[in-house]
Amino acid sequence: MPEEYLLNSIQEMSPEFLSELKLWVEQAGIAIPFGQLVGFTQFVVQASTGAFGDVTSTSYMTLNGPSITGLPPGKYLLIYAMAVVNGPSETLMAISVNGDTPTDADAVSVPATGDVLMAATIRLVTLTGNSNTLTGMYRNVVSGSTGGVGPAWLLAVRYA
Amino acid sequence: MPEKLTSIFQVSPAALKDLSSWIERAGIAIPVNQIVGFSSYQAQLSKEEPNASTTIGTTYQDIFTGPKLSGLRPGKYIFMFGCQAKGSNYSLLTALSYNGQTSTGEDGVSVPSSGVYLHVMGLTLKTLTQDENTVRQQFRIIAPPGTTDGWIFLQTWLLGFKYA
Repeated sequence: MPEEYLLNSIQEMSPEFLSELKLWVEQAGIAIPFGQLVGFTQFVVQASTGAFGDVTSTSYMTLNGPSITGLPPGKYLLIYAMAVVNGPSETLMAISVNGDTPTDADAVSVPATGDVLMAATIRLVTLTGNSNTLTGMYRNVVSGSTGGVGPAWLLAVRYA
Repeated sequence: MPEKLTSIFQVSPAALKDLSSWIERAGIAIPVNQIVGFSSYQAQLSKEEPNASTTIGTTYQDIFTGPKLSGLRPGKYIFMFGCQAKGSNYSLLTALSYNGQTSTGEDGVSVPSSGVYLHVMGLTLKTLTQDENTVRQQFRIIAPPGTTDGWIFLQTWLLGFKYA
């Protein structure tokens, strides 16, 4: 074999050699950087707790969170919950995406029973902006009284 | 140089080491579906808003048309499920049924009969082994056998999250 040789074509490697090379690549323990995997979005979980405030409106309003900012685009599973004490009749919590007004269909509901009740629900969202914000928002179903929200939390799991 | 490389032993250990380093540094785009043993995360949601009353017995049963997830591939899942419902006489249990089998209730959560709408949520881990699987939410009341009770359901939902 000459001291220097330039491989010009894969045809210069026999099927047997390519098969052995394939096995070698599979078994050599080559360290592939994670970022080279095309089509995979790293599983990311972020959480926020907050609330502890009075809901005074029948339109969705914010309290002291929970809120998560700076979320990259992707598909997310949202899990969120709140505890309510002394609700007026029924208090709702839903998640605002980038400042939009949430809908009741995505809300978790806690009725006024005289007890502290906590309830949770889920929602799937696809975020498309480069930097996204999720914020817990609240409203009373019936006007005229104040719903006391205790702790509330939001978990955002990016899965794709 | 032979016309063709016919054996990997015609490549020196030093050359193989260089090749390994090159693969690591070349930034080769590797589709994730080529990664053996990895299945990407998937989430499927079935949600219903019946806003209607139905009669529930003391054994687990389907209600309305769901919620139900069909065609689920084998793998490991987190299932989350819940409902917003109201009843006045007997507490309600909700649990999951797999591939048409009546729920065993092992992953069940309860809704007390408070007379107001309550929102509950449960979750369970499950490994599905069939080529195609169906998971459905079922319901029953806690009462003496043969008893039935009316419950009103505003919404029911089931989410399957495949993680392996």
